[in-house]
Amino acid sequence: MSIFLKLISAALYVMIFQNLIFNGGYGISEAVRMSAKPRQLVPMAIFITYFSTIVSTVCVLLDKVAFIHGLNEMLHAILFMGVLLVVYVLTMAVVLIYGKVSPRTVRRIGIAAFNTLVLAVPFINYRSAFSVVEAIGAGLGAGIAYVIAVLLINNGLKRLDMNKTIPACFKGTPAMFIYTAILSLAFIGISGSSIFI
Amino acid sequence: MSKNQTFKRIRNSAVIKNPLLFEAIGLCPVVAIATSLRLSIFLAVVTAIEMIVCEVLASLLLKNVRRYWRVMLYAIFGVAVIFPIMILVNRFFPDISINFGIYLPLMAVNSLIALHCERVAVKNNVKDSFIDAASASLSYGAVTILVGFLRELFANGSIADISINMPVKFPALATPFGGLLIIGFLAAGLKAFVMAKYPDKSPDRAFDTSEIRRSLRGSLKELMKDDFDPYGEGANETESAFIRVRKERKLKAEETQFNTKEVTDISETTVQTTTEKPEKIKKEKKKKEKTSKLKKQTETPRREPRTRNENERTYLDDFSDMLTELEEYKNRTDTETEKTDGGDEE
Repeated sequence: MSIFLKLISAALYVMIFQNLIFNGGYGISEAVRMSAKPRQLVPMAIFITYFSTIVSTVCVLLDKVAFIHGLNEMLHAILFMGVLLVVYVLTMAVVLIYGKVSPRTVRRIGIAAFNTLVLAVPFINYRSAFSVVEAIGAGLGAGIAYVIAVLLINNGLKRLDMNKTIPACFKGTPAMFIYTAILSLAFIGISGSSIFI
Repeated sequence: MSKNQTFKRIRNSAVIKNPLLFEAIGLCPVVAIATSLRLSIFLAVVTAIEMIVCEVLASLLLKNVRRYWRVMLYAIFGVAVIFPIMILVNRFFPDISINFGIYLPLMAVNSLIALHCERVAVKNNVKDSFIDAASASLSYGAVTILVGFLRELFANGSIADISINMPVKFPALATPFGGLLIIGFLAAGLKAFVMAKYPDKSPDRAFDTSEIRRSLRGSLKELMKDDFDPYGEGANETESAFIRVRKERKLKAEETQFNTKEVTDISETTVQTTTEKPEKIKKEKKKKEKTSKLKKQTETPRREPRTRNENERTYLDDFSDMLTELEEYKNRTDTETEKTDGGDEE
């Protein structure tokens, strides 16, 4: 039961209480651009969740080794990047050997693997000293946080698109930025940070 | 490349296709770190170095590499540039290193660099790639510095760590909320400028609203089948709705221009008074309509493909018609001869 609770609490921490996208800005470019093309959300979310979970779990497991645990943060950063590269190469090897995957899927895998959201999860695990279970929860939570962010921004974009009263210079990207800023403010409120003197 | 072309490229990259304000790329470090002038200058410099090195390397080495390996190699190039910078910053500017936190290593996978390498560096020579990298990083850096300056001014009440007696401070602007808000207003300002100066250019490349309207409809199978091009890299292969709409608009504009030209030509040739001009135009229009109607009438209707039995049936029908016509003709001639014979006998 405690394992399950640990997993859920880590996932909720990353998803809502410290939403990686709105509170930290990790992967915000990908989320914003995906919100304009949400027809790709399902496969992209699956791949991001896959990479964030695997990389975060492997990094925490490697950190159990005393030699690696003793390294400074800069070398840890190199290690995390190395793990991401290895996971990507292995995934691509499986995909290419399997052979039935379309070029579109291969393109998705590349973009899902190399973004700030996926690489931020092992750093958060390291800084928060998460256990393996919590690392899995954080990885899963990162994927769900991405989905939440895309759906929220997409819903706003639809409403902004229908609104005829917005001035012409604010239509499109500027209105989207301001709407995302308000969403970010809402998530900062949930996290409990004080933003006024 | 001529000077004019280089200027156009720089202008496009800096203003019309501003990576940060219109294409929403590389937002993460700006939103999170650019909270003061000093940090934003540092961020702009690091991004420029990384971008120029990665684009030049990509242009030199990755032209014949497959796309899925290229994505990985951009990240490796990013790491190769960022980690020496990290070591130097740790040694000489420890306060900046603390402020940057995990965002400095994360810049190795900056989407701005991957996008520009994929869009430009892989398809062009080193010189063009360098110009693109320089112009894009210049525009990105300018916006980053402006965002940092405004955030420091309004959130901390200082400029470059020198405090100013600001009556009111807004510490919320130091959070990602403030970053996004300022970027939004800057984007609106730049868009107003583009709309006034270049009315034929549409800066909202990243946000094709037609796709938003169609979004979240259709089955999961359809969603999986769709082509995936979030950065518009394969714009030539698959036309986005935005480009299609633009082309349609262009065509319409050309048509209207053509029509107005025709009208002006007619008005120039006629020596009649201005009141008679519209009548002439109307007459010409009528003539055109008539000719088009005649064409339609003269054109033989396209027959549908027939089967063998159908063909045989039609031939037989035609043949029987001909026989009946012949019989009728014979009867008519017989009656006429009988009449003439009877008349002669009388």
